[in-house]
Amino acid sequence: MKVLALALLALFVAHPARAIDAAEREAILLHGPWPPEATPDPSNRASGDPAAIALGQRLFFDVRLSRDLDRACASCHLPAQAYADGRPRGEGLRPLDRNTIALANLGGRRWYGWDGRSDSLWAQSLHPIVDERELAASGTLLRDRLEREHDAVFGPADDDEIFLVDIAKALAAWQETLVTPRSAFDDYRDALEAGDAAGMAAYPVAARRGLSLFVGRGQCATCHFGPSFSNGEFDSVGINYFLGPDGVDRGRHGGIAALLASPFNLLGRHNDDSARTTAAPTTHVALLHRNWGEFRVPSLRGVKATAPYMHDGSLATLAEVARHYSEIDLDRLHQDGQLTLQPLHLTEAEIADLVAFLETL
Amino acid sequence: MRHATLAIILFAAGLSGGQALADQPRFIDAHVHYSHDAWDRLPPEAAIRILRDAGLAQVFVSSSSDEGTQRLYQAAPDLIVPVLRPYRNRGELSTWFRDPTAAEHVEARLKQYRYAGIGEFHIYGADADGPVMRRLVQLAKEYKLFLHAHGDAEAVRRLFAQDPEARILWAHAGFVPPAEVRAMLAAYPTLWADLAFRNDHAADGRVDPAWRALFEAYPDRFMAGTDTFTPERWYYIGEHARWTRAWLADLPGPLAENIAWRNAATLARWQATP
Amino acid sequence: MKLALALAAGLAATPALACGPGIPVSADGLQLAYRIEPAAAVGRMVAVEVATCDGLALEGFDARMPIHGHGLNYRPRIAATGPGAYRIEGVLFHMPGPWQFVFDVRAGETTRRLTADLTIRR
Repeated sequence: MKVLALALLALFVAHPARAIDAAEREAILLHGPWPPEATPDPSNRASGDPAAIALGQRLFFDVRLSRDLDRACASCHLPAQAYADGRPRGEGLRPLDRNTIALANLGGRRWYGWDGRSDSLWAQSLHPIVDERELAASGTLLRDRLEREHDAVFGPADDDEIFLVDIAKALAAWQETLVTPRSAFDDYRDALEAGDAAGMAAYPVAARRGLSLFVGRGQCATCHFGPSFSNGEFDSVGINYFLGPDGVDRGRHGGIAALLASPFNLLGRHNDDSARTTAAPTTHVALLHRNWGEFRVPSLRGVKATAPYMHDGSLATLAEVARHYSEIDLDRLHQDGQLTLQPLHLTEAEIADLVAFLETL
Repeated sequence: MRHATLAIILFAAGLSGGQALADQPRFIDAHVHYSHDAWDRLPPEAAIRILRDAGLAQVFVSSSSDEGTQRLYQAAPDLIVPVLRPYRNRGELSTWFRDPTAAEHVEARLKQYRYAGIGEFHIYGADADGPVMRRLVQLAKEYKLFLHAHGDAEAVRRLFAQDPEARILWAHAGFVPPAEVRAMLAAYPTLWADLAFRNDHAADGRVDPAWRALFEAYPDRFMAGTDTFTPERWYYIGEHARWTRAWLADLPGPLAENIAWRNAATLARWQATP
Repeated sequence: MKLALALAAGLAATPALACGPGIPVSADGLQLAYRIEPAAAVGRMVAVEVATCDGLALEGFDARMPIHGHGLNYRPRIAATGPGAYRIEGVLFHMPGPWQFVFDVRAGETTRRLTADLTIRR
């Protein structure tokens, strides 16, 4: 009893304005621990293999992956910018439709890309290589240029498509190693779990208030759930998804269509796992009316470094993102099926708190 | 296997995109909105082109404000079935039934233009017995129009209590399970239901058994619709028509035709002159 | 006395024990029991094992979040695994909070819907 009273007192001392109730404590603890344990991708025989990881890292910066030998993965995924590019939308050989996704914490996801068109990191890594707007290369071209390096890691490939997939698998093996470091939030979260009042007190007060909003009234954690701050699914949050004067970005609806039509999905011949242990989401994914114009719920780890935001980079700062949700236009959402999002009408001070919290991730 | 079938449907859809679909089975889309943000982005000619490309025979259009419906109707009177929404802008969805000027607005528009129905409006529970909603039920009776109601079963029951002969199109079949839809259809012979924005009745070109039994029990009551609740969803109309035709093909021909267009055409025939 | 009460309470709380292991669900005298395998968690694809009583046939299954108005992003499939035994594959809770299982069962010529509320915390 005495111990409990002391612990409660310690909490009040650390943050005199408020105590932490059990529900909030549980909600906060769900966002850790960090980093997660690395588990190899069973669909990729190169996953976790040091030689493949080293090859993938070299190839990520290698212009031989582009048809015209003028660009590499790293031309858009810039290491100095959290492997994003700082632009609203990507610029390949031609302008792209969506924001360049930062590359971190990619292992073990169900879906990749803003529309989840890939069910593995290697399948997603293959798209930019062959997309005419990006690197515009092909398996045949890569085989001509990279056979020696490839064969040293994978052995000879039976055909050009397998060769292309192997290259993508090496790229994936390296990208899996990109993990955001522990953050100020992680230190706070672990101090909370351990009952370490001094550790908790080190967390900025504004961020702590923002965290309360995030897991509480804001209900942000409903979708930005768990240690990676994403439930790995897709949603419509009222962002315009027109594309040019005469079309739209179909988002998740197009993503599911592309996934199921792809020879590179986990149900196909390139999955190295004969038991298909990670293929169940692909088997069961449902194509729904509401998928039209839905986009990935992005992870918020390291989000401070990945501006601008949203699938089309239309919001320049985290404060703009917070304001968007705070004053969300319910007319943009269907009356049924989307009761999660409600206008919060946050004050500017609350928006600043929310941003202060997000910047600690 | 299921996904292989779906992939083929999607692939075929991709191939046929943009082609005229005149040889497609006849289909009426009973749930389209053309609200101010849509016509800002998609002028009437472009909107009509989308509807024609989808191979639609007719389209029930209601808009916030009604100006959008009138613009489309003028551009293609053969295609558009005007339905009068009480909302003057999209923000009125949850407040209109407490606003007497909404009923006045509907009354004034009815004197000025031709409509087949009043709706789609959102109404739940006891709100259906408020004076504004009551006035709309009276106007529908007076002008012989159907009511396109988005709401719960209780609201629909209250509307029928006000006018047992009302003709009501229950938007989204109330988003209730088939057993509850069945009970409502059994209780009210002049209740129809649209299937807009529902996915539970069909997947991958197959009709769910419980829904199939319901369609067979009430072959004259169902119709399909897209629900373009944001302007971007206008680009879903063609995809939705393909999706709907795929599951309709899983039903016996006459029943599929009823749901595809005959039931909607029956409702549209109540179009009245002022 | 205490023991007798405990036994009575135990019997009253587990009417579905006769059908099979799991959490009992009943309405209007119709009963089934379900188990989630592996343990439910947000973002984990799980299976639901269902045991029905008295020859009840399981014909449909869904999971919804009533307070949000949405269902699953995945389409579960039901497979009969024995008399009155079913395995539903492909259930993935994508948000924490209150969910509802919906079981459509057939008894003779009538179909009924049984629902079970559950909360996914993590």
